[in-house]
Amino acid sequence: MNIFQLVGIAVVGAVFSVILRRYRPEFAMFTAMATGIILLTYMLGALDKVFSMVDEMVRNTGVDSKYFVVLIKIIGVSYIAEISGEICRDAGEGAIAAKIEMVGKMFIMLLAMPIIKTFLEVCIDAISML
Amino acid sequence: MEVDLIFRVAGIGIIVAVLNQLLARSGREEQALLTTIAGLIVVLVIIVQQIGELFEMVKSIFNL
Repeated sequence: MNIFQLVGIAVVGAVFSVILRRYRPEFAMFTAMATGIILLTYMLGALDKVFSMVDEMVRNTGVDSKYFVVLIKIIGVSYIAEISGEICRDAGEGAIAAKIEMVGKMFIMLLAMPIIKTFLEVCIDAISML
Repeated sequence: MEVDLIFRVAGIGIIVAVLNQLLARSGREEQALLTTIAGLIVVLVIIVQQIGELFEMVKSIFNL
């Protein structure tokens, strides 16, 4: 599925959405969501390959993969928050979109907290050794 | 469910829009409203299933 097919799908979805916007705005939103879902499904396929390759590289470098796993989780949370935020913004609900993105940021903070803690401990040890 | 998801949703939307106009013009506002609501429910069910599938895929890839 090369890029031109995906662009074609996006344009077709946009055209249907515009057609429907005048008579049934809610269906226009559904068409936009359907197009988004299809494009994201294809993107996920490609993303899966990228992650497996990067995972392999990280394993070669011998770095502890715990940090890499958290990084992937953070990307996933931001990915979901962004999808739903844009859907809400497309439906005209800017406030809800902002709320969802705030929740996403909070979850990312939650995920990153252990790493920040270990990082600070390393710094403190380094300083105490001076 | 690939590209035909768009055509299915858009088709239902167009049909409901046409039916709505038809019923509204012929004086049956209630039926028009009921048709719109029925179409809305059908599309909502399809879209919610698709979003569920997408989120399952995201969950598996990002191992959330």
